[in-house]
Amino acid sequence: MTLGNSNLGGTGGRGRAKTPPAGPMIDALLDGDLSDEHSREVLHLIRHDAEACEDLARTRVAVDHLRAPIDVPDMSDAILGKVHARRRFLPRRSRRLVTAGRLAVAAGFIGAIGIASLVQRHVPAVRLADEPTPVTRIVEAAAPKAIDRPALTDQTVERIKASLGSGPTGSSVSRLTLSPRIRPGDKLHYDLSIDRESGVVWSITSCDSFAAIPSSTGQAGTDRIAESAPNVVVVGPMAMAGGNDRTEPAAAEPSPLLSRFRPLMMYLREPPQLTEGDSADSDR
Amino acid sequence: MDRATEQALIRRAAAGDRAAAGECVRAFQGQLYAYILRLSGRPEVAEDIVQEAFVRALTNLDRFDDRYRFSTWLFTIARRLYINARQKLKPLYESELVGSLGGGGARPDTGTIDDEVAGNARDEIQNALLHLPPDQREVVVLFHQFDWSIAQIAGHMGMPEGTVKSHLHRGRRRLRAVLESNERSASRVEEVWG
Repeated sequence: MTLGNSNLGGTGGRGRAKTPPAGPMIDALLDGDLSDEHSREVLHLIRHDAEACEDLARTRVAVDHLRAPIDVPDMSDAILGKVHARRRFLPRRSRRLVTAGRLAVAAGFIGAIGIASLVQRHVPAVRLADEPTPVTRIVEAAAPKAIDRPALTDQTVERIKASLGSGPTGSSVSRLTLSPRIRPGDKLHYDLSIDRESGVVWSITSCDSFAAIPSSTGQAGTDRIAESAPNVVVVGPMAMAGGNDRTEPAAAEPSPLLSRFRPLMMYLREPPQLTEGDSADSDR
Repeated sequence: MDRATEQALIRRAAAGDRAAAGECVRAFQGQLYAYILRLSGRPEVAEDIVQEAFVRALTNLDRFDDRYRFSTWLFTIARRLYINARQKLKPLYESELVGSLGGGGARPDTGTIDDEVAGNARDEIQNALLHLPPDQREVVVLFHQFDWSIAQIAGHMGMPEGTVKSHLHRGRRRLRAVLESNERSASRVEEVWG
């Protein structure tokens, strides 16, 4: 830093400008912005400027007076009394209880979070789909899982086959008691409800295993159905062509579509009777 | 008081320890009282504000952020209280200031002048401080009495460092001018009354 006498304004008097040129240097000195070396230089330069010296001395005296100790009244009792009125101080024992209580609450909170995370790990959480889904689709998607439809179908088919006997002389009609696994609210029952109006109770379309079941019934067979199967009858695909007329069997040859799928049709005369037993009887 | 001791004291006080709260008060009441007294020039105002500041701080210790110094927090609370009090007492402050200036008001009697001349330095500097605008007064007090840095003062008062420096320089010049004026008045009185 270079200081010139012109900066310090040594010609001042009482009628000087409000800010003497030495002012910025003194301000820098008092602000502590100058290094020791620069401070000494400034002090040396203003030594010859009486006015600057006077300003500096007056400022230092003022600062010293500012730092002089002040008589401070002790306000602690008054303050603590006011604080106690607003928020009670606790004795040592109570403070320990409060601390223990807070710790217990914190531990309980952490434990609850841990238990919740464990439960969530073992119980599948409900996940919302990205898109809204109609309830009917959800039912359809859930139904096969709920009743294990393929397994149920296989079991039923086996029982029907067993009850029908084998060969051309075997009966084409079988009485089937619905499995108690089919419960109201199941998808299967839902289908039953819908088709009840047309008489079609249940159609199985994946029935390669039905090859052994005679595919046609005659009028006599249908009569026998009416006599011997008060609840449910099982007929071959020819019945399909007969529509809702349960007593009129269809033509001898099934349509190509029906032949392809070999549907087994069941006709309902009354609402299905859900039974406890899981049995399939033959009615010949 | 070092930082660790201060934090331990605050924790104990926050837990409801009366003794710790008392230590806090005794440790900081001097600084806080001096600060508000310098700003207000009124011991009763300073006492009220200091008490209220401590009560507010001690009843809200759970909100205290221990990354900062407790004294800084106390000063901030006290400053806000003082600003509110100053706005309420503004006419009183101004009338007192006009009277103390001498030029525009009634001429002080010789006894008062003698008292001022012979008065102690603390009263003189306090009177000189009251001639400064509030911001300049506060900056001068915080910088020279409490040794706060410019940056600290800027943070406390919510103004740029450059503005703080400007207030500091102007405040000092004005303080010097007031002190010089008082000295001249004292000399004139001595000349007249021998």
